[in-house]
Amino acid sequence: MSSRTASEGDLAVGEVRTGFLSHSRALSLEAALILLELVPGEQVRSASRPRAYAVSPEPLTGIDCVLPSLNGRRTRAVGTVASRVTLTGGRILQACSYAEIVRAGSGNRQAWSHYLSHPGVVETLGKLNAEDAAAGFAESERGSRGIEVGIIAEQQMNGVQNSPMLDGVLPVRARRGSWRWAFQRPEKGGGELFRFKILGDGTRLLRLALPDHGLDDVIDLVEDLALHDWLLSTVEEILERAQLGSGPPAKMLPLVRPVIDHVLHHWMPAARVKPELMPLWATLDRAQGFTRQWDLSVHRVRDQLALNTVTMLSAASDGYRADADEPALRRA
Amino acid sequence: MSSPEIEVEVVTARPRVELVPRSHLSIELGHLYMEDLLHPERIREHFAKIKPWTDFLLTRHAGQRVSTCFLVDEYFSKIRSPAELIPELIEAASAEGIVIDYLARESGCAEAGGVSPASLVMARVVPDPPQGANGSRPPAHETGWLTNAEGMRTSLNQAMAGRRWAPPKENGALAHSVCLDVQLWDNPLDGERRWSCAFLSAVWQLLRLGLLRHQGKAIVTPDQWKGPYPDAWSELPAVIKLGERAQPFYAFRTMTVLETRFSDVEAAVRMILGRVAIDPVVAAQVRQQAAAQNVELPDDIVRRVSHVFSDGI
Repeated sequence: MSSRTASEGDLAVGEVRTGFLSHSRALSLEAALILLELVPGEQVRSASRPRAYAVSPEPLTGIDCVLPSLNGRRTRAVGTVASRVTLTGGRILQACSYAEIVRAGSGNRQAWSHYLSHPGVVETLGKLNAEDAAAGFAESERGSRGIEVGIIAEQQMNGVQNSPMLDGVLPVRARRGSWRWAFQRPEKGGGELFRFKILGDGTRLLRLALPDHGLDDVIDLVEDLALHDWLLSTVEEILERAQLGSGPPAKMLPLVRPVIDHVLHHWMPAARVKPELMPLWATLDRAQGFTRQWDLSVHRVRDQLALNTVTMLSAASDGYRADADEPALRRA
Repeated sequence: MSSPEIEVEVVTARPRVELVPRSHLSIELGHLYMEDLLHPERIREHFAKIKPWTDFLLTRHAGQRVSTCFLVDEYFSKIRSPAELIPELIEAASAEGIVIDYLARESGCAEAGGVSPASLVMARVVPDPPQGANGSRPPAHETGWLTNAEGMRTSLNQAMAGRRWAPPKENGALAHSVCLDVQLWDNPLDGERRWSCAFLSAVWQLLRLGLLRHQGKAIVTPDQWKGPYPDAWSELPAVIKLGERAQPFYAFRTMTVLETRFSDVEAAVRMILGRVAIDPVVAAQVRQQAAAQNVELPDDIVRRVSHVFSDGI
């Protein structure tokens, strides 16, 4: 992906989906390089620290439709939506589809090759109201999305999940995480913005306005937020199913085990986030209490396990004492 | 105390791609079907017709790096062997005062050193969307056809069901449409995918433009052939260098001089090229290379490809 600079677009929109890779074991980095070769011949990028991470090349999807809008504007736009799929820790799959929206020089649709020479860019054929489009996409349920970026992300994710390399077994049942975001570069004198909202269906909406940041860095940030938000939701979902503290321990253990096996060690906030964007992570964390809730959940799991261990140990030692008493009884 | 500036690479390194040397222009010295290559006088006649155009191009680009090439069509039939044909081609061209710098074989566009350039290009095809496409449709089924229009394929069933005929519409047409529907490949009886002439020609243009990579590596590295030419085309690499002092095979722009009978195929070639998304890392590298050499280069790759159609006029 090219490194875009602040001057190139007024607005970018995107969606992220997060879920477990449908494979019973963690995938090695070598296998991930093959799995994520979404554009044959193009290279998959990877890193092994601070944890295994691989990111696919970016296939494109052509669109010619109206832009998102809060106020029912019908601005036509043409171009391509880019998608990338990442695998974190050999387990967590994320698909992110996005497009930068810019105003075209001309009011007519150009030859398709023109749009392909600017991958991941959508050009409006009329006036662009970035504020209205961003709000329509990532602030309100009432807005019209226009470009179905989320469906594109889901198709990319499904494509990878259906790979013959995978055995189709999810390590644990968990809902897909869904984030929809819009990123603006504020005009001179315009304010910075960080607006987060959770819809009834669980979709997270995030509107960002920040000067001087590249789109690549913002995508890394949103993916990282989405990943940790999903980890937290997944742990909560599992603990709820396990009826932690109220259900019978024998039923609880097998349900909680996957949290320890597959989820806990992936928590590594802001591992891939540019230092300049760290304060945003911290801001959302303060407001949403990601880390607090996470720590709480982890402690609950550990406390329950400790309690359970104590119970089991004491049961075992009761048994041992009974055994130890036996010879004496016999002697008597 | 001020805190030290900490720089940590948080994103994995950008992929590296091989930089290839480039001529300013690659001239293709016409094209002949294998049947045309049966007669030496037909070959000579061909180069005689090309000559005025190559003279014009060489004069116009005097002082620049220009290389010439000829593509042998041995994908669809292999009537003549390299041992027979190559010396004949070189001689016929030379008799007309034309130097062939590089000789390529069309099968090399389908398979070259264990890599299929055609498959790589196929994977990069991004169909253009009709108006109203918002990303919600599943990706187009791989039919082996590529179109620039909507409503091209009204099936007989639909017609018999009494649906009213609706004209096809070119995507993005201003007023009137020119609709094209191009076959990229088929599966003959033996089941192996057979690429169409138009598709292989599009791959050929992308090879000459040096825009294809496999895992970062260029696909062909043209070298001189040592010893006598073999009897089988498959024993030759995809592209061989004939002239020792030839300028680079890869070029910023291409010019293809053809007889008018090829104009339909080349319209299809341009249509396909307009739907191929180039690896952004390669695209950026070529832009940089061009800028460093003060070469003006359009972003749109179709505009880097020029054609002359002439029947010897």
